[in-house]
Amino acid sequence: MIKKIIVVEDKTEELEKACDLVMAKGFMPLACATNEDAVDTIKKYQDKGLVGILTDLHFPVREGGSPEGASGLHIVYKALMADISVVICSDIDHHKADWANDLIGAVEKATGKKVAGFVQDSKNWERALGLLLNETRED
Amino acid sequence: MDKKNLKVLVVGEFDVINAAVKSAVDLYSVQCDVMSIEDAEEMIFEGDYTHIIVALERDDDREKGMLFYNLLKIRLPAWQKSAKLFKAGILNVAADDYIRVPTNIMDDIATKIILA
Repeated sequence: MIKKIIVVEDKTEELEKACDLVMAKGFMPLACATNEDAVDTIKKYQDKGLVGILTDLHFPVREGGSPEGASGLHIVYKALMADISVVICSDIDHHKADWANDLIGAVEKATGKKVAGFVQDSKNWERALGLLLNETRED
Repeated sequence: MDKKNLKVLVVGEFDVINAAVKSAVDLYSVQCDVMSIEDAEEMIFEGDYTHIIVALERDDDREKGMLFYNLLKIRLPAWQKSAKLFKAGILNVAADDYIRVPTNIMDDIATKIILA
């Protein structure tokens, strides 16, 4: 069975950049541009070689929607509930990220599991993937 | 593209539609595989298909086919695949990426022979 990593990002250029890195590491990237796609993909592959999830913080809930809410937090919750490693990769300014850190903390407390990483200030997918794979190896 | 280099994948949940599309492709002696939506992604990721036809089924299954078609629009470039993507259905839609599947023969065989 091919090992897979879900990549959630609504900007095509960023999505393809992240997927290229995932493929270069020998994984099959499962690209998602919306919350709906990501949740469906988690359900479909959680017992079929899914290694982890790289997710943006802000992306649309539905196709054609706007990325106004922090849909990534929903993906984090779904991932932790399914016991799947997840790393958030966002260009959020770390000086203005307290609300996100607080909410992630709340999700971690509610699920009893930890997020594998939260990359801030720039969409550094390489770093995010590194955090995800280190987390996976530690398991 | 030379016919011998064509490789078509038909993806759908309804065996009759899949078989109908595959039969039509076979008439041209073009290599063609058929796969359910559930199993198609790994085949596409690892394969070298030149054309992918996603069957939009009737009623409830139509949404499943459409969702998969929309996902492939995102995933094919992410996998660096250049396969041309089509939808196939029974509606009379005139679009470059839509393949119309005539179902009259299937309906008549089903209602007049099999179910009669």
